[in-house]
Amino acid sequence: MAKLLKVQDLKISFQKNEVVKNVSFEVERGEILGLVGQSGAGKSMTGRAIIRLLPSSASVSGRIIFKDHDLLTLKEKEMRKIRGKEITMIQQDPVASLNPAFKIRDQITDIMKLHLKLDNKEAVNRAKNLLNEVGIPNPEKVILKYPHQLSGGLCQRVAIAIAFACNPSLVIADEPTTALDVITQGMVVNLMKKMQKQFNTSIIFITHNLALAANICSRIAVMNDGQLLETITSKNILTESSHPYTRILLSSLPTLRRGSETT
Amino acid sequence: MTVMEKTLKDSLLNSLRSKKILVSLVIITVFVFTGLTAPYIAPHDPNKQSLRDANLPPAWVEGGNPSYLLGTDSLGRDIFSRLLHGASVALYVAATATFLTGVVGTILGIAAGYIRGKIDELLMRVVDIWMSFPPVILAIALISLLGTGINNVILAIAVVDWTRFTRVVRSEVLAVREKDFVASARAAGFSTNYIIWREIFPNILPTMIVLATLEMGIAVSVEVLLSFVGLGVKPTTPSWGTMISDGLSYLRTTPTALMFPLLTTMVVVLSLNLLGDGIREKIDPKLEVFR
Amino acid sequence: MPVTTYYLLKRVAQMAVALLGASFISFTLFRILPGDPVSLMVGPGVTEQYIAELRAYYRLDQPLVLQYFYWLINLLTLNLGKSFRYGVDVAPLILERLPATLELVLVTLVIGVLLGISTGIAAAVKRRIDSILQSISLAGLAIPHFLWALILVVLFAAILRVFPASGRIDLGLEITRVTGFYLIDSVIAGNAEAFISSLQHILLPSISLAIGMMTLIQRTLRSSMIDVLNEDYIITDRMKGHSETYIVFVRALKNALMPVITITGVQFAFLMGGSTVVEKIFGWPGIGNLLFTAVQYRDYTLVQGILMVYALIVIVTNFIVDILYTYINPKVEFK
Repeated sequence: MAKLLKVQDLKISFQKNEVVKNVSFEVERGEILGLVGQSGAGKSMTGRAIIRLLPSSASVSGRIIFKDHDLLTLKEKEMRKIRGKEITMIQQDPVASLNPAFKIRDQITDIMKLHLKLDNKEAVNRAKNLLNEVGIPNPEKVILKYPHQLSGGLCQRVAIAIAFACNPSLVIADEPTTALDVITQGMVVNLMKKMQKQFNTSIIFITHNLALAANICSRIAVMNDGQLLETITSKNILTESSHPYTRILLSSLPTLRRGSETT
Repeated sequence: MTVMEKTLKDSLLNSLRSKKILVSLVIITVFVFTGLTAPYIAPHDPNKQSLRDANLPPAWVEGGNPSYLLGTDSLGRDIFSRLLHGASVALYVAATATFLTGVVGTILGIAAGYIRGKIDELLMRVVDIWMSFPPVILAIALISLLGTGINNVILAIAVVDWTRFTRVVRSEVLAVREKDFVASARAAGFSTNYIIWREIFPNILPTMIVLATLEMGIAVSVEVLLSFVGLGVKPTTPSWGTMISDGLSYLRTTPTALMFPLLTTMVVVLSLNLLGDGIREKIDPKLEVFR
Repeated sequence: MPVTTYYLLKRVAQMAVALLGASFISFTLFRILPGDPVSLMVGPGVTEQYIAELRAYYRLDQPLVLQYFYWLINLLTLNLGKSFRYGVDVAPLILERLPATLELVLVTLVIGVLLGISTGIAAAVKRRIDSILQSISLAGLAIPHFLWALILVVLFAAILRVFPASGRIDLGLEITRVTGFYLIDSVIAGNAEAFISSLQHILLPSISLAIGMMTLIQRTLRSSMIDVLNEDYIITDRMKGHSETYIVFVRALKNALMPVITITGVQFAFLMGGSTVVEKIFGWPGIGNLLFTAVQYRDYTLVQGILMVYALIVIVTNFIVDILYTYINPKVEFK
């Protein structure tokens, strides 16, 4: 089966500063790939480059082949058809990622009206169902609220609902749990696993938390300083990883042990 | 030199690098110079009428008279001399009114911003009510009571516009008083007076300077405005405002009588604003504040 | 419902207090300074007794507090007293000329807001337009209304002769008065000539007033739009695949307009003030022009009445702006 996404020799720079240097990887259909690294490793940039939402001052080169089309060569108009329908993104700060001047209802139905050509009634119904799927109680009430009236966890659920609304092939989750407390983190991760199984979507899960990535992803790509160091399967993360940097990441994970120190 | 002196010198040199500041300073210097020396350099007595020389165009235009450089107005008075004296009037009003408004506004602003509590609440209520009166109208009403004359104009400006300084100073003080160095000064037991004058005041000074330039621009505008409607300086004092008003009546025949004072007013007001703008660019966030 | 009835009542009470404060200021301004208004308003050769009678009529011989009290009572019944000069009641005098001022201010608002918002959006989105506007906008803000009025008069009325320099409508044209707004009345009467003439006359004065406001709106909106367009939620909207036009004009604009509304509200007071002098320059028959005449003739009751009307307009407008703001900004609720 052809790969869903092939990133080849991706380079991203901001005014002579190379932030992503020659990154290549692939994503299969239905798999969850983790993109792990420290802040500034270039993982967010890579994610945004795929959906082409980098700041305008960025210069990009390389190939991003999605379903046999090189996304970097597409015209903006064509890219807009892909955004929201084929590829979507979830951002780090859930409350900030929702437009404060519009009700939740408008923010979910708009994407469906745009790509699925639904009328208002159908869109609202589908929105309510989606909110149910992401585990929001009382969707009829939530739908009429504004983002600032909801908690971070609720907002992230809404963001997930938006991301899956049009049944995309690829969801780019850019540190979706970083701004949340641990319990909500677990909730979001479980939710994403569920949605992925339900819709058979591929997910690129970007995080700096290796343990979290190992939990949800089947494969993990480790990045540092703009470069992709190695790609390993989560199951064999302890045995397979050969890169010294990954070893450092692994060793810095806190472990719970009877006794005192870590090794 | 001390740290403070060096910072001062650096910021001054830095300021000169701004085109805005440079250009506006040049113009304002010319303005101040003419304002101060007008009685000495004006070729004619600004109030000397000469009906046979009335409504003359500028010297370089056909029909002009070289002794009246920019022509004459409807009463035969030399426009150039009147322009120079008008600069003195404008300068006097700008400096005095700004000083007055600045002092009153700053004191009130610091009081409200630092002491807070009932004083602050009361003051802000007064400011709000005061500001619901359109300023021009209030000024006109005041003049109608006090009578005309240059000093009443200054008073009117101060009475109408004191709220501006107060509000801005208050909000600046509010911001500064939360800073760490103020808290540490308080913890160290320094008196309120000391804190206000040595810690807070130097930090609000840059904003006050910007505000002062703005206020001077407003003062010049208001003086010209009031004189234009006949509620400003006494008729014997030459003012750009009265020149504009006179010129307006003779717009069709000698447009230059209106255009020159209009031009000088515009240029001076614009330069003052430009200066303030340029300074603001430098202090926000660049200029190191004295601490 | 972002506003509760309780809040509305509270605001009305606050407005009443503000009006009271305004009336107090209006009143005291004229009474605390030396000079006897009555002797100022009568000519020479008048008997002492006549002056005394006048004083009694205007209650000027009563203690100040009582005078204020009487005036306040009258105010509540909308009786603004009698004009010293015209001898008729002040209230109808003002009411007659009020529509002219209101029409001027409303047209100014429309022009200022429309142009301000469109240039603001343009400046936020296109860098080239932004640099041009940055340099011009300082002039727009620094030069006060009346200077602009004069510049426009010199340019368009004197030199280019495209627009009239004074008046509200060409001499000889009559409009039956329905609302008092010439632009509306002429349309109602189906009088195209009158409409065009009214439009020509209102253009220069309203543009001179609108320039300052337009510039302020443009600057505020521009900076607000730039901030908004950098927010995460706009990235979300882009991620959804919306066109840039939709994002700018619908999704971003609604957020960016919030500070603009506040600014416009504040500007309104200045607008009222500027309109007085503009009325004088253009011979516009509104209450501003009336104010000048009243001041000239020391007609204190008339001046007081006009001041109160101005204060009322400003206070009510502030109230409307605040309410409007709650509808635009869902984060603000008044309880």
